[in-house]
Parts: sequence; structure tokens; C-alpha cells
Amino acid sequence: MSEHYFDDVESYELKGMNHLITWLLHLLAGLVILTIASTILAFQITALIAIQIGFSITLSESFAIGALQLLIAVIVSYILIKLSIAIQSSELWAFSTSLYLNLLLLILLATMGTIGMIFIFLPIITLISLFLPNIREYWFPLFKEDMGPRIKEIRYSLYLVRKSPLVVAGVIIIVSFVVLAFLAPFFTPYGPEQRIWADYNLPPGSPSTDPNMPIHIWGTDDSGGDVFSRIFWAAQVDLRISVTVVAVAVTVGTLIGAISGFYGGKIDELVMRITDVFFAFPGLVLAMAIVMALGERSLDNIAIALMVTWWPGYARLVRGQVLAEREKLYVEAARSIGASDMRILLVHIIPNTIQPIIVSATMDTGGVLLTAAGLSCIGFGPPAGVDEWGLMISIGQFYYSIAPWAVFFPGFAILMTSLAFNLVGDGIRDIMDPKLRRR
Amino acid sequence: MADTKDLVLEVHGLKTNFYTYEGVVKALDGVELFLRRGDTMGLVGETGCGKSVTARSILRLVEPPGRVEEGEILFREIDPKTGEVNAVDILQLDEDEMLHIRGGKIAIVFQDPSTFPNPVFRIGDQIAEVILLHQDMKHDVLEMKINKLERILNMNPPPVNVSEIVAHLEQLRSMRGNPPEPDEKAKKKAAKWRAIEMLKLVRMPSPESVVNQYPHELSGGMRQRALIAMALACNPSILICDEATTALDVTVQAQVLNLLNQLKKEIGTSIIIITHDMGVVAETCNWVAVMYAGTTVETCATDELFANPLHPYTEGLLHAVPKLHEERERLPQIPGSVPNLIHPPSGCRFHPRCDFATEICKTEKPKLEEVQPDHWVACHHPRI
Amino acid sequence: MKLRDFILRRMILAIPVIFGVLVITWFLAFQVGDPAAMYINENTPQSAIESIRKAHGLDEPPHIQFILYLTNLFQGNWGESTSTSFRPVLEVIALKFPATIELAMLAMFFAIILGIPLGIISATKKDTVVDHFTRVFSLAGVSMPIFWFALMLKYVFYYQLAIMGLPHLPGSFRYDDLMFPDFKYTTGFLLFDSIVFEHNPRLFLDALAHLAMPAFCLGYLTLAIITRMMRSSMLEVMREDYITLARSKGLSERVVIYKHALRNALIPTVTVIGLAFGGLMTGAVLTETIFSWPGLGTWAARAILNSDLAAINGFTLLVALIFVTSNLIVDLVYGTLDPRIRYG
Repeated sequence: MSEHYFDDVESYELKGMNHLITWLLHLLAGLVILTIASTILAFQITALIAIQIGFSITLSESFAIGALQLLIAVIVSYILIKLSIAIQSSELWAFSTSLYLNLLLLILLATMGTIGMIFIFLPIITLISLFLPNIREYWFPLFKEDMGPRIKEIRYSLYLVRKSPLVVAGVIIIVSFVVLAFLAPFFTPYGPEQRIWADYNLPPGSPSTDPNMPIHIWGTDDSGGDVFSRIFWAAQVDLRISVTVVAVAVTVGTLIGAISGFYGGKIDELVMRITDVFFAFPGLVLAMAIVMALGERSLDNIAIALMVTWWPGYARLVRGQVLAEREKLYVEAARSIGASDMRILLVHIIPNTIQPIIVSATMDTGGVLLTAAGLSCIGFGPPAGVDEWGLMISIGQFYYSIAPWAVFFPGFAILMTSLAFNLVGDGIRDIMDPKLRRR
Repeated sequence: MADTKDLVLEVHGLKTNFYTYEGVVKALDGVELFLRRGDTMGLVGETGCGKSVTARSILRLVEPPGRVEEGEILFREIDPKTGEVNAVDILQLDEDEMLHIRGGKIAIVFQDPSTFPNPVFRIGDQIAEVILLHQDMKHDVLEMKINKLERILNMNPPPVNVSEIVAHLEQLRSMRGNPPEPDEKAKKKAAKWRAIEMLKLVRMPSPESVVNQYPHELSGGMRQRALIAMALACNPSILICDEATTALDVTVQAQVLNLLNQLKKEIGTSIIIITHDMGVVAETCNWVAVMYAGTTVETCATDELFANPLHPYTEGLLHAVPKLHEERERLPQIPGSVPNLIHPPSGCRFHPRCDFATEICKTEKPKLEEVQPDHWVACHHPRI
Repeated sequence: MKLRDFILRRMILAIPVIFGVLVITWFLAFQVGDPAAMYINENTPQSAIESIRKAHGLDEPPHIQFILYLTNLFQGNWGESTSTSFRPVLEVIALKFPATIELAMLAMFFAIILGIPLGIISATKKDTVVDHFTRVFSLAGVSMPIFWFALMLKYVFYYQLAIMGLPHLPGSFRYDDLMFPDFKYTTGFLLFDSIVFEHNPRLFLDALAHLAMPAFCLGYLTLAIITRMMRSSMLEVMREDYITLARSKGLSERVVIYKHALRNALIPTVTVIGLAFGGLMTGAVLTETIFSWPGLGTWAARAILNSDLAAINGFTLLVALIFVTSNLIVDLVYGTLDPRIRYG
């Protein structure tokens, strides 16, 4: 009896160890490949943006960028092919079949090809034609005169961005997530909400029980959903929710805050007392109560609840800014030439208060993502089966000991996205802050 | 040049650059200064000509992206025991030795009394801090104790145990030659006592209550006095006043300037007054150095400068000062504006604005030379 | 005298805030479910339902019910928590409050002890590797999904260590009741009880081990917030003129940073610490759920899912009170740190 007991424990321990190691290795490989792929992608896109806005970059430089892209593409593909051959020949990786790597390779090359062709060469061709001497003489002098100072500012901002690696990292992560979310239909091996019930709780890299189906790169969850596919399908949902919530909260908050700050008096008093009440709530609990009061636990209701809880922050922020701006001379000047209140507010004051709003909106996009995921994680989200990061964790937590990958990957996706938004927001603040921006 | 032993500070070929995104700002390019012991020197020039940077360079307080590139700042100190003069090059000192000089040997009073005192510490503590740092408090502790006993003796009605106190007092007085090492608490108390003394020295009204007040509770003039007290607390050899009176009302300004003049006589400190106000220079300084775009263009005695300016820039500067007994439609001005220090003019930095410029001015930088006795000018064509 | 007036005035100003919180939660809770539903089942006869409604004042219109609720509230009757076997809400709060406060205090302690030095180091070594690392570390804290972080901690330090047969941290509850079957709470603060009333250092260590993961998990967010605030206010302060003055006095860089700059930089950080205490309550809901911590957070999450109206109202009211109190405390601390602030 006791012997059997110890046997069991031993085998269990071994299994656990083995499990962990292989799982970690897979995780590592997956992350390395994803990082490489997304870096290249993001590099291309940033190059595109740089080319499009930095009109002052010379022709030879754009050619150099294009050539560099091609070179990198060739080198990376070579390394990846080598890597896949090496990994396949190793015993430990026997069951991490070639399909998974080839698939990534395919995505990589496909994106390289399409994005490279469309986004890199098209602007280059446009640029070349723009810079042909007889075309150039029409627009360039005017443009230079018009945009001179602005371009100088933009170039200085870009210089500051380049100097802060954290912002670059944040931009890369956000861009790659957005692109991957959009491209989900093209590279995820499994469709949205597609389940193979026999494949429950498979570790990363396992083949499907159905021989016709592709491999499970990051394993499966308790209902046989492919974690890798679900994460990128869910990215669409989560990003959309956080961006919508922030957009609505910013608009409503800015309007209310601006009016409150501009007119002052009783309106101001009322608005501030209301925001005080909102600040005295723990945001999550209020959102929970709103979701429940709305009747149905769904993503839409989470979004509504978050909009309701998020606007007071912006109202406060904008009110403070408007109060400060209202007293400035340029407002006095606008009023003296007969501008209406609305015009002063919309045309003169709000644009001058926009900078802290941008910063806090960027960072809040991450915050909303976290809160939405948190809500759906403790059971206020959509019914099981919907592709949503928080929900995946919520369901996965019951199996976290046997299928940790089903919890790890969605959470890691939340962390990375939210971190990226925070990195960018934090960086923008430093870059746009006139006090820090001294030269 | 006079006997170098007389000079407490000599600055030669001081160059300070600021490394910015737009390029290297050559803020100082060969500043030459010398300050005699007990003198008050005025450092004058337009805004942005590098007066404040010079002051900060002397104390090595230039902050990144700025950097002192080269030059020599000789500080000559008289050893109180042997009477010998030791010269040190401030730019060669390591940071620890520098800490000893800052505040202790060379002190600075900054421009804006509203932002310079630390808002969260009491005035007394801020003065005491610098005293504790640089001064050996043995004598002060003893003096404070003697002072206290004397006060008790003079009380009315006199204390009961007079003989005891007198004995104690005698004992303390006998220790004056070789005071004992005091404990920390006594040191702090003595430093505060010294702070009150310093505030009395700068004619602060009701110093006993001011030591316990915070900067925001004082007026601008009082704060400036507190800053001066802070700077003078350790009897520095040199006091630099960086536009110390510019932010003040004219009446307060006059008070502070008078105060500086009296203090100079009382403590024997050499003073550098940085200002763009020729009136202040005429009133308080006996020596003056004129700066233009990061270089010293002329330096001589104040009377000499006003009577006989040799550099075209100084001439223009003096012409631009309004005078009471003259009636003029408009003040003459120097044509052009202060040059861009990222791409400064070649040769003499003043040549684009100078009426007397010739070819040599465009190519060669003039050196500061003694063209008349005790009158140095950096110009190829001094207005003799 | 002045201080007392200040506190009094702040308390009066807090009344409309608390009232607003009550209005919003009560009417939200009113929408969440029918309070009578908890007392009845399918077999309850119609007449009994009517009498139950009448007994609890549920046949009145909403505004009357709200006033009824308010009167009960002032009489110390916060209702009955239906999801906690119909015990009075105040009693449940008294039972569970110490657990949450102990957790929050430890989390706060940990966040302050680590956060302030990290922020200082990051600011003084701006744009170096240390700074970048600290920034990523603190931004990661702000972006960390607490529920996931809790699960991952539990997976590594509890599950994995346990199956490898290594010493591991406990993954749930406040203490091991198999090891200490006779323990009874006195004050509810386990660390305090174990030493003062039980004289049992093993229980104390066990409680500490149980606290370690939840407190770290909960404190990480606060730590991140404090570090960021400390860094940015340090950077701001280091550019101030009085720092130049301090340097010109010949003070060493250490004294300049740790005396002159720190004192000023602490002022905004203290505000953030106070606000973060309210945030800890939000975090507690998530952390406690994952670690099965028998505190207010778990209770509140379950109450909302079970439409336990009295508990929802009670919890939000309590949190609002904590929030208002911590704001008041922050303002008082502010006054001692910044002499420019005067109450009046």
C-alpha cells in the first residue's frame, strides 16, 4: 500500500519536472520567434512612418532603409530555417513538429513580402517621383516655408523618441499587437471559438488528436481551444474595448471638464462634487455593480461600466487645465476680438490642454484593458467560450496546476499590451513636457 | 599685473560648453578675471554673455549638459597660522576638496530669493547647516556658553548663586585658548546661535524669531538677506553675488548694496558683483570686468572705466546708460544683437557689431592685454 | 484649535460625498436584484411573499425604501448579508475587516520600504541601465494583471515547489488550521494575536508565510505607483534652484539628495500613497479571490455575484469611509511635510 503510494508520488514528481522544463523551453522558443517576427514587422512599419513623415530624409537614405530591410529579411529567414532544422533533429523537440515553425516562417515571409512590397516600396516610389526635379520645384519651397518649424519640432521629437529605448519598445509591441490582431484570420491555425473537445489541456507544441488539424503551438485549454489562436482572436476584442472605452471617456470627460472649468460657479461645484463621489468608490467595485445592474454579464456591459467609471478622471484633469488656461492672455485676446465662448473653448483652450490628455489616455488604455480583464476574470465577463483574455484566465485558473499555459499566455498578453501602452504614455510625457524638453 | 600675492582669485582662459541637441553652445570662450583681496569687482555685460555661467564655473556648479572644458581658476588663500599664500587650481581639485571650498571659502548669493531657499526647512536650520559643515564649532560653543552666563549675571534681579557662576565663567574664559571638543547637541545649538548672529549681521529685523521661520513667511528683501547670511556664515574669502539685487525693489536693492559694502569692511571678504546695471557698479565696485559673448573684453578700475573706456563695446555700453544732465531724444544703442553662441563670429566676437572692425578682427581673436597701466583690453584697435 | 477646525470642516465636506456614494450604490443595488428573492423559493405561497415584503419594507416605493435604509444605517443596522448566512453586515465586516487591513498594511509597508529607495535611485541615475530597469519594473507593476500575477506566483511558489518536494509558500487562507486547530481570533489581526495573546511564534511565522504571496502581489501595484511618483518628483525637485543653493553651500551629493531633495520630493509621493490605499481595496477584491483570503474583497465579489444587496451597500460604504479618512490623513501628513500648507 505504502509502496504504491511512494511510486505514485515519484512518477508524479518526475512528470511535473519534465513538464515544466519542456513547457518552459517551448515558451522560450515561442517567445523568441514571436519577438523576432514582431520586431521585423514593427521595424518595417516604423520605417514606413519615418519615411512618410520625415520628408526631409534624402533619397539615398530611403534606399538604404529599403536595402537594409531586405538584408535583414534574408538573414532572419536563414537563421529561422537553420533553427527549425536544428530543433527538429533534437530528440527533446521531436514532438514539436516542423509545422509550427514552418507556419511562423510562412507568416513571417508572407508579411515580409506583402508589407515590404506595399508599405516600403510604394512610398519609396512616391518619394522618388516627388523628388524628381521638375515635380519638386512645385511643392518643395512652399512646403519648406510652411512646414519648416513644424518639421524641426517633429524631428526633434523623433530624436527624443530614438533616445528613449523604452518608448521604441512600447511602440513596437503596440504596433505588433494591433497588426497581429488584424491579421488573426490569416495566421491563426484555429478559427474563433473553434474547439476540439478531445484536445483538452494539451501542453504547448502537442499535435492535435485530429490528424487533419494543425498543431497546438501554445497548448490547449480545458475545452480543447487552441491557446495560440484564441489569444490573437481575443486581441481584437480586448484592444477594441479598451480603445472604445478610453475614447468615450476622454470625449465625455473633456467636454464636461472643460465646461465646468470654463464657466465655473455652480456648474463647476456640482461637477466636482459628482467626481468626488466617483473617486470615493473603488473603481472595480463600482464597475462590478454597474455590470450587475445592467442585467447581463457581457463585454458590452463591461465596456459601458468602465466608461461610466472612467470619465470623472478626465473631467478633473481637463478642468484643472482649463482653469489654468482660462486666465492666460491669449484667451483675453481672443475675447477682445469678439470670439464666442464656444469658439474660445474649442479652438483656443482645449487644443492647449490636449497634451496631458493624450498622455493619460495612452496610459489609461492599458489600465482599461487590465480592469476589463479583471472584471471578466472574477466572473463579470461574457459566458465561457468567448475569446477574451480575462475570461481565458478566469476559466484557466481552475486548471492552473495541470494546464498553466492556458493561464500564462493570455495573462502575458495582457501584461505586454498594458505595459506597452504605459511605456509609450510615460515616454510621451517626458518628450512633450516643456520642462524636460529643454535643449 | 600687480603682485600675484594680492590676488585672491585669478581666472585664465576659462572655457565652458553646453552640449545641446542643436549644437555645442560655446558659452564661455577664454574668460580672464582677477580679483584683489578686499576688492569689490563688478562683472557686467548683456543678458546671455556668460556672467552667471562664469560664476557657476568658478564654483564648479555647471550642470549637464554644460561642462567646463579648459582653463585655470587659481584661488589664493592665506594660511591663518603661517601667513603663507597657498594657490590652488579649482578645476584640478577632486570633488571632496571642492566641497570644502564651496560655501566655506567661496560663497555665492543667487538671483531669485523666491526660489533659492529650500521651502521646507527653517531659515535658521539652513544657515546652521552650512556653519556646521565648514566650521570648527569649538570656539563657538564656548563663546555661546560664556555669553549665556554673562547674560544670567546681568539679569535683574541678579541670581542667587553669583559667586558660583562667576567661578564657572572664569573657568570657561580660561579655556578660550584651547576649547574642549563639544558634543553634537551643543554644536547644533551653537550653530543656531551663530545663525542668529549672522542674521543680526545682515541687519535682519527680529533675528530670534526669523531663525524659526520658513522662507515663505519672509518678504523678498528679508529672504535675500537670509541668503546673504547663509553665504557669509563661514567668513568666505570670496562672495559672489549673482544678480543678487536684480529681483528686489529699488529701495531694498540700495539697502542690500549698502549692507554688502559694510560687510566687506567688517569681514574683509572680496566680493564679485554680477549685474547688468551700470549704476550698481558705479556705486559699489572699485574694479570692474566687462564681458561680451563669453569673453572678457575689458577690465580696470571703475573710475577709469567710466572716464576712459577703451573697448568699443564698453564705450557703446556706457553710452547706452541714461544720464541726468544730458538731454537726448533717444539713447544711442549698439547696432545688431548678441551673437549666436553655437556659431560664434570668427576672430573677435564683437566684430560684426563694431564700427572700427578691420580684416584682422575677423580672423584673429584679440588677447586681453595691459594697454595702459592697470587697464586691460581685448581689442585690436583699443580706443586710446 | 486650528487643526481641529480643519478636521471638522473636512468631515462636513465629506458628508455629501458619502451621501452620493450611498445613493449610487443603493440604486444600483436596487437594479441588481429583488432583495425579497433571498427569503423565498418556488414553494413559498403568495401570501407569505407579501408578508415578507411588508416585513422588510419592500412594498414601499424606491425612495421610501432608501430613506428606510438610511434610518436603519444610522441606527447601526446595515442589513443582513444573505450570502453569509443572514448575519448582520456590520458583524461580518467586523469579522473580515482585520484580515483585509492586515493584508493591505503589509502590502503598503512593503511598497513604501521598496518604492521610495527605488524611485530615488532611478532618479539619481537617470537614463542609465539601472533607471531603465527600474522604470520597466515599475511600469510592469502598473500594467500587471493582479489576478494573473497571483495565479502565477501561486503556480511557482506553491504548486511547483510543492510537487518538487521543496519547502513552499502556502497558497490560500490566513493560517494552517490543521497545524493550529485550537486557535481563536481575539482582535482578528493574526500577526498581533499570535504573539500577544497566543505567545506562539510558530503561528506568527505561519501567518507571515501565508501573508507573503498575497501581500507581495497586492503591494506590487502600489510599489510601482510609489516608485514612479518618487522618480518623477525627485527629477522635478533636482532641477529646482534650492538644490543648486544646497550644492553651492558645499554639501555633499548625498546630503543634497537625501536631505534637501528627498524632503521636498516626498510631498507629492505622500499624496499618492494615500490615494493608493484606496486602490489597495480594489486590488484586494482580485487578490483575495485568488488566494481564498477570508477578507472583505472575497466577500464583496461573492456578494455582488449573489445579489447580496446589503453586503454590496455595506462594502462600498466602508470603502468610501476608508477613502475619505485616508485622504484626511494624507492632508494632515502633508501639513507636517510642507510648511507652506496651513490649515485655516
